[in-house]
Amino acid sequence: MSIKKLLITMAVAAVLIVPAAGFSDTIAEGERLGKTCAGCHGTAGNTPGTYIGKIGGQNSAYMSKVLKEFSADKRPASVEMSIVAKGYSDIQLESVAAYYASLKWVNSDNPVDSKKILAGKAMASDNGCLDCHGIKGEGIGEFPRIGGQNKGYLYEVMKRYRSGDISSDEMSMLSDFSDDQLDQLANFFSGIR
Amino acid sequence: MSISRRNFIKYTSAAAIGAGVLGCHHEINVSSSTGIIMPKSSKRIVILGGGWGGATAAKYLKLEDPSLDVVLVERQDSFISCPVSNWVIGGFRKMSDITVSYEGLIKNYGIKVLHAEAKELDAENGQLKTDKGIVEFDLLLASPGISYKYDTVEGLNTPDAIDRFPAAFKAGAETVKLAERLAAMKPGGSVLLTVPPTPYRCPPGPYERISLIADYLKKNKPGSKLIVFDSNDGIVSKGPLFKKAWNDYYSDIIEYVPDNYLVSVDAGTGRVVSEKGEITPDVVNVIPAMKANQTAFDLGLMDKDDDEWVRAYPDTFMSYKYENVYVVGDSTHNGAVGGVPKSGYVANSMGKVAASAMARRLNGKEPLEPTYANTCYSLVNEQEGIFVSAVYRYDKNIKRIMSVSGGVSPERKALFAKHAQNWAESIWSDMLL
Ligand SMILES: Cc1cc2nc3c(=O)[nH]c(=O)nc-3n(C[C@H](O)[C@H](O)[C@H](O)COP(=O)(O)OP(=O)(O)OC[C@H]3O[C@@H](n4cnc5c(N)ncnc54)[C@H](O)[C@@H]3O)c2cc1C
Ligand code: HEC
Ligand code: HEC
Repeated sequence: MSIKKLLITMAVAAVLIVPAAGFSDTIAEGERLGKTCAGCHGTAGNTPGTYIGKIGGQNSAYMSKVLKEFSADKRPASVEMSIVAKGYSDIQLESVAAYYASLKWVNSDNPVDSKKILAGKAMASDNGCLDCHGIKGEGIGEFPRIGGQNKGYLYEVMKRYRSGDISSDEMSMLSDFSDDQLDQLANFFSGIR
Repeated sequence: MSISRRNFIKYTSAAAIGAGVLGCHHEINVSSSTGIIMPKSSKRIVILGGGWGGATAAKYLKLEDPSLDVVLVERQDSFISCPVSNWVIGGFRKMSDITVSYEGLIKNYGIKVLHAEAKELDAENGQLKTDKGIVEFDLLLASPGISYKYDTVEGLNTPDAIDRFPAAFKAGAETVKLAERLAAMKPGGSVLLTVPPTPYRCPPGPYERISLIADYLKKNKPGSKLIVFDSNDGIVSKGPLFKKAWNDYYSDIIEYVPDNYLVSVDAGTGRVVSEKGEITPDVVNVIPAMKANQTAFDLGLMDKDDDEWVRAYPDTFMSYKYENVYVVGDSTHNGAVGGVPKSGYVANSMGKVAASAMARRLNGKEPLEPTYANTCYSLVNEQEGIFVSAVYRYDKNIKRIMSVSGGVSPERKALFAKHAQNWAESIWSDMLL
């Protein structure tokens, strides 16, 4: 191996190693900062109940984005999170997001209705939900995981996209869905196990 | 405080009779010569009190370092939550809804739960004396909660008065008693609730209870009144939100008298005397002034003679008094730790900070920079909730906890009541499952 090639190899290795070390520091920092979130989101972000979203195993890019938006009052309908997120800098929020994203996702055990699931499933394929959110709602890239999420949370957040309380081009198609339809979608996605 | 040789011996014979550890499936041996039960064979942390601070610390110690031997000393058979206990008094939750077993801590984390009464501390020798035997420790964490200052009201410090005027600020039998008295009252009756002077546990707690008793009377006991004597000169927490709900829903039920201290009670006649007048209501809920749990005094944890709360350093919660004893939760001294409310959420945060600091100390590591938060949800009726939230940090200059951000809900909402229920489920699971 020529010296030049070796140097390049080492440089590439260094580039790979440095972020890796930085990454585990970020996660440790996120764990330290994020321990208090468990009071509302449960240990490791595996949130029981139904109206508070699970965050353990949700994707990092999405959580980073929404946490910073909470802090900047861009999602004012999330009243608790707008107060909580202001307690941290954007860099701290990114580490908290990285920490929760590194944990295992545990599917919701909220009770779901099989008739609503069928209706929700049909709507999900007709409307391309699975194209962006994945075939099991597992999330793709920056698109959030919605399969196995708590049902009450899914229903409430979809109502906010519908009313424009959260502005999102991708989700604007919900504007003409009825309450019943959103409930059916929530049952379908929450019921993915 | 140290245990004298004589006490040790006296105590040994008593211990031999009733030693029992729930969930610890092997026999406990009580050494007849030392009185020591569950002899220590590895690094051990003993937790006194399986409430909000203690249960959290026990679980998080095991998450931090599963090799630690963690023993939780708690007198009660199961955990009964103070948060949500006002909903039981309001008639729309049962005691079983707010009761959680300690089995999760035992089965999921291998924590040893010793149902016993802690009596004395020998910090120098690392021994906690309980009514079931002596437990050895490397480090002790105490989260014993509060005691009522019954002696601040004339006539209150007797068994009859305590029975007639229950406080229900420790969830359990007192909660049931108050709920039953309300249920038994005739329509058109009168209820009196007295709010203690600060500092007391859960600043919005009395006002949530006032709202929910009023809600109960409105639905079930038409024509009844709820009189409130508040020792403080106004509502202590979330004042405008509570006031608005009372005006909107309960203006013909609640009669609120601020700045009115309770002077005396008479258990025989039921008469209650305050600075501004006297009445003889049908049902009375006296929430007395509070101090750290009597156990903290008995264990000798007070730094100064006239202290009523335990001083601890808020970066680790090590006590001022003993380097191997940590204290968290309601029993901590606000002057020493900083301006955090005495809440379950704060006790949960403190328990995590102390657990991390203690586990790291036993492993020869420096403590991490601590983090803390609070949220107290309150219902104003069965459907609608309000809340106050804050994030705190440790200020290295003044060595106290300082608020970074905080606020209250701008209005009451049904969604906040749902979040309140789910918050409780989340935090109970964070402590006990
Ligand atoms: C009506 C009401 C509503 C509330 N609502 C909220 C709310 O919505 N949100 C919130 O955050 N907080 C709320 N709180 C406050 C919360 O309950 C307390 O802040 C919390 O319990 C404090 O935890 P702790 O660990 O300090 O004490 P505790 O939870 O009281 O735990 C102390 C434990 O120690 C045990 N113990 C004490 N001495 C001994 C001994 N000698 N031997 C053995 N065991 C012993 C006790 O049995 C008890 O289990 C509320 C309180 C009340 C009364
Ligand atoms: C007082 C309770 C509370 C605390 C503390 C809290 N959360 Fe939340 N969180 C909520 C509630 C309630 C929701 C969902 C409902 C809403 O949006 O209003 C939520 C939603 C979220 C979401 C959005 C979930 C999604 O799928 O879009 C994220 C991410 C989140 N929280 C992260 C955190 C982090 C990180 C912390 C700690 C720094 C934290 N939360 C602390 C109550 C809380
Ligand atoms: C074009 C891609 C796309 C499509 C199609 C799409 N989504 Fe989304 N979805 C997104 C993005 C991006 C977000 C995050 C938006 C934001 O920033 O709040 C999102 C957010 C959501 C959320 C909130 C997740 C959370 O954790 O808060 C839900 C629920 C959801 N989508 C459901 C659906 C449903 C149901 C459909 C079909 C009816 C659908 N989505 C179709 C891209 C899409």
